[in-house]
Amino acid sequence: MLYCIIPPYMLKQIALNGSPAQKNFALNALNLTAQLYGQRLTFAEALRDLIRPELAAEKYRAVYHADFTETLPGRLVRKEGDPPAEDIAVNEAYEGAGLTYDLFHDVYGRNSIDGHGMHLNSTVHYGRGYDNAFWNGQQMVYGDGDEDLPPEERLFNRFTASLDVIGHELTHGITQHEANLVYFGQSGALNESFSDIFGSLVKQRARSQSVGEADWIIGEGLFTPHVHGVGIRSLKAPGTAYDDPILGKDPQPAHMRDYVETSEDNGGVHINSGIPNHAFYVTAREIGGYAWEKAGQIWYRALTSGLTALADFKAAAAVTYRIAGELFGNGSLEQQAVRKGWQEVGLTVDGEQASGCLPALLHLLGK
Amino acid sequence: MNTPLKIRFERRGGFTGIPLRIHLEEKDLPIEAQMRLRELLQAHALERHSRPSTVGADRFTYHLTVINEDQEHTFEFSESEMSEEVRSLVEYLSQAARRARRLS
Repeated sequence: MLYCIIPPYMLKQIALNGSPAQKNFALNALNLTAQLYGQRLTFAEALRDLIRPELAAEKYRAVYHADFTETLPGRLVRKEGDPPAEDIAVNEAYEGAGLTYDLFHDVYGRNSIDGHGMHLNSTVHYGRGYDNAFWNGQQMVYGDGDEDLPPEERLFNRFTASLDVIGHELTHGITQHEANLVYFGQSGALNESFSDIFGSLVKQRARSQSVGEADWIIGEGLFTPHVHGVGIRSLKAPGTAYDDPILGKDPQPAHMRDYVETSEDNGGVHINSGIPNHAFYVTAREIGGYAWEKAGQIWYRALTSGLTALADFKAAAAVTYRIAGELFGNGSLEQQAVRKGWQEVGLTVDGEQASGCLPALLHLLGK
Repeated sequence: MNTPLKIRFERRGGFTGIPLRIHLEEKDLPIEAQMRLRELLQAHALERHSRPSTVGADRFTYHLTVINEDQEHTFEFSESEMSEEVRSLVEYLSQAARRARRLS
């Protein structure tokens, strides 16, 4: 890999003295090298702080083509200001990153993923038959679904087809730079939930949909017509997004009494996220109007200045309730809506001390 | 002569969280994949890739159980930590599992 043949001391010099594109390349390479050797990312992050003023311009998107390999970032095919490409996946990744940036910038006053103008890098056409999208700590990555199978056998479309997927992945980056919720157990399910919530809000804002008009579906458009389902998850009705003879049934609970204890999927991060997802939906429904304005503001503040890495659902309930009081007044309609949201999923709002974080803590310690 | 291996493969996680599973026998693999699996087992190469990644989100993890007579060994791989040798085996098994679920 190209990154590995440039020594770290040279990368540091490029990061400090190169052009903006060279700096970004060098920082990515340093981060990747640190990951390969199992090191913490503190050096590259500190270096990023040093040169932040030059990166902190405005929205900057870059989309790369992996050429169906698993090498990142791939070949640059569209950057900020370029006209649309011929490739629909490239344009979806570009536009989706822009709409996500706009929500966080225009509504919550945030400048990109790290709050300091970090470039929004995306790679499309990753791997072959890669039915997934992910955040790798530095960028968004999208596969093409089941494109390698005969059309009649395909279950998944390309992952850029769904705007909320793009918002979901980019929000993982914001979470990493803010509460940094540990990706296991309840804190991991909260990590997933914040991504689903803001992924849905990106889509709702792009469509100018009120709470009542929105579909609250995550992964709309990912399934081919061969699947019985409207998407991967539903914030409005967790557990109902799909019910298919091949894929099975959407396993998400909407209430604490149905919480799934499992060691799979990092302790069920994509399963139990249904509970905080639904709490947000109920809160937004009770407030009414556009969900990104008030309910979204409360959850954004919780993510950026309330929650800690090992937070559990109970802590999230208490923090969002407190923040609703700070933003809209104690006893306000908005604060009561938050209380009702968590009540409907079986949680109270009376204690910020995380009590169920032991599994995540053990995971963090590698036990 | 080697006793035929039995294989259980599962992919977990990813954006969808929908697991992908397949059970097969060594003879179901193409010759190249059979040889790769034997080589990896002999070299104890599978054990070296079990460290889970703590960076990023929505990555896959892979769980491979190999049953050799009455001995059972399970290996766990994080998508971001695999060697090229392991990756090519995992890619084959993933595709076989994706095809099998549609045809089952």
